[in-house]
Amino acid sequence: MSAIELKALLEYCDPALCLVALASILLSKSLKQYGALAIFLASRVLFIATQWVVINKNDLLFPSARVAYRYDFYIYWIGFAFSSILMLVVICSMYRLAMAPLKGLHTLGMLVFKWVAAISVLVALGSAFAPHITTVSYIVNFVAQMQRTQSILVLCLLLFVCFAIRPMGLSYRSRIFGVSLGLGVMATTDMIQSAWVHNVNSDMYGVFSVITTSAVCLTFATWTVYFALPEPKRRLITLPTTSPFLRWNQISEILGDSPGHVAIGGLPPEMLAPAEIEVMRRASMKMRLSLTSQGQSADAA
Amino acid sequence: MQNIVRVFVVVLALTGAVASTQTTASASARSIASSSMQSNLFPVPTCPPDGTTDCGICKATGKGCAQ
Repeated sequence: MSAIELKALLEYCDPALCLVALASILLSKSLKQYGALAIFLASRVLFIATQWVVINKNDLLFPSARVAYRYDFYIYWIGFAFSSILMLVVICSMYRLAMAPLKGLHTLGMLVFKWVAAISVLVALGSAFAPHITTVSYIVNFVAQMQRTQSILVLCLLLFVCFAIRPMGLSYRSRIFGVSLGLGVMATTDMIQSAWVHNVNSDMYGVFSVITTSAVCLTFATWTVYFALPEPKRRLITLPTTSPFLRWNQISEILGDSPGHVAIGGLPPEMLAPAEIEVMRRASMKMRLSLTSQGQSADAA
Repeated sequence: MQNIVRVFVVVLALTGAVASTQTTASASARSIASSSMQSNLFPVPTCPPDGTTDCGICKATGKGCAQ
């Protein structure tokens, strides 16, 4: 089997395995936790199917191939942008699930994530711009830049989940790790291929795309296996008192809380409730009596 | 097993980091074509959608060629 035939076969395996992974998520009854991933897989299959119909049945649906191309253009780029946004949501949901027991770090991480996402969008908007650029090229450059940013975010998440897996009570058989691993493989493949196509000729690119498509199919197969097998329960999280995780979680929990305030002076009596005034009056009287009795006993001595 | 998984993850991350340094800042449409976020099943539509071209659909499928 030649590389071209193998690539064609793998490309048809891609949506099929995507459907199998989606079915695996639905059958494992974990749609609530992994809803974003399920929507990502479903939308991928939907966009592929729509594009297939538009391209291969264009003679039945459209007056000419030019009209069909216009629809294909918008379907592809809307699908690409939608997938990129969904991937960010998937990364975000994986982080939320992983950090659920550590509320402080969870809140702090989400804050950092929002800032990183906002800065990434601004940088992508700026770096995609060039003099005399057309609208189509601008959109293409912007989406490409966003895709690279997203890949970097995925790899950071994977590194974090891998090395902080024990303090989070997870294991390598946990679905959170499986999903992150799959995303990491896809992200690395994208990064390599982005670099590859700039540095080699198109023949090499053709061969390399077999590896890329295999990696995507492998990712879907990995997700299918993780969701098909029963997930081990999260362990009881015990951390030493000197653990940096514990310390950072405590610090993160109190970050942003409004501090309490103490009245130092200038407190007018009308600000106090009658019961408070009565308590203070009786306390003063008791203190005065106590001082008087102490003075009398000193005189007698 | 644990160390194997860790090594694999580190290799993935390092490979991604090295690859990101090789990618030029101004992305071309070809790098989009390589993205695994979308299927490689169809060519990337990079021609302007102004109705003047079919961007090779007619040639690839042999359908809709009558203008």
